[in-house]
Amino acid sequence: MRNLQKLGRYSPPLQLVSSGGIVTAKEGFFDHPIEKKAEPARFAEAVEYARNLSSIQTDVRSLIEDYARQIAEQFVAVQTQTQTRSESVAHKFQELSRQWRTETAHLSSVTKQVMHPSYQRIIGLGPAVLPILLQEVRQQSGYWFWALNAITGEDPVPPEDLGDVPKMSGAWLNWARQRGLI
Amino acid sequence: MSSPYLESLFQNLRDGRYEIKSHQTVNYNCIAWAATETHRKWWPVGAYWPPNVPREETVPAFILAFATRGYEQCDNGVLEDGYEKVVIYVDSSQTPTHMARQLSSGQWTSKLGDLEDIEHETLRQLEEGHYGRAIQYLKRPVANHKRAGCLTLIARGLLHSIWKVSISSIR
Repeated sequence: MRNLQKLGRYSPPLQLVSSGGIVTAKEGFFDHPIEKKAEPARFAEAVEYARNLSSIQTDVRSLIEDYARQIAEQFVAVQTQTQTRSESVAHKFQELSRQWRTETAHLSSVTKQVMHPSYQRIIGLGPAVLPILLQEVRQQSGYWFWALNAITGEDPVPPEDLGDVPKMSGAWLNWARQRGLI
Repeated sequence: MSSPYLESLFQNLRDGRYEIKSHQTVNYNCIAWAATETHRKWWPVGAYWPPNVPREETVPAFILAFATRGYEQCDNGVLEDGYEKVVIYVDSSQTPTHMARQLSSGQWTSKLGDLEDIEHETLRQLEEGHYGRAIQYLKRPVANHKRAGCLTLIARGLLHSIWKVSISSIR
């Protein structure tokens, strides 16, 4: 950046142009015919210009590299954050579903099962828990249809299939397949 | 075969004989099991419930649900020749929690939520704690049930024959 500013003192070779917070150098050297300048001064100026041009290229490259690095870092950070969140949701689900099973597996009341605080907290994990729930539905590990319905607002199960776990599972897995979720 | 886990859930269980008779499954629950079904869960909310019966978690709604299977109210769970009986358990707010079905031996069979089916000697073995008390008995004649089963089979046979005749006439 210092080189860019230094170059600004030499008129006319380069003009500093600021656009969107990024300073770039605009070439203007050949706008001014050589004949108008004394030869020795013109030569010294050209040498200085060439030197500074090289420095500017380095600066611009450095700026681009910095910018690219920042974008890459942000991208990696977002990916890591997403992965961490996904692992965190999976961990939370395991913990809550274990507690839910322990405390409700002996109950026949669907209402008591789905109103259990752990089940409600699983619903509270939101759309992030959908892939895990669909996996559980595939394994027919529990009555996850209520949670799927609560999270998605959808109900793909025909009324005549209510209570039939294999058929309800099939309906939800078809629904997920049609939306590219599995 | 006893189960310390089940005994920890139902503390009266060890007061009589009991036996685990199935693996754990989420495919049916105690209400379905009382109605001798094993392919779906029965419950007024979020599961199968007989058509035209109020989807309410009340004893009257459960009585009506089992009326669709030929049951009517009775006073006790004493084994009666020619009848089969079921019983409804309720919690302290009179909400149904569980049902058990009487076997021809006089013992009872219960599906424990998503856990196993067990045969137990008395209803009291599952009382208190999670299921509350057994309060409402229902019974239906075994003979009628068998006759109804025979009629169903005959009707199915007739329908099958009609279907075959229709298919052959189309061809």
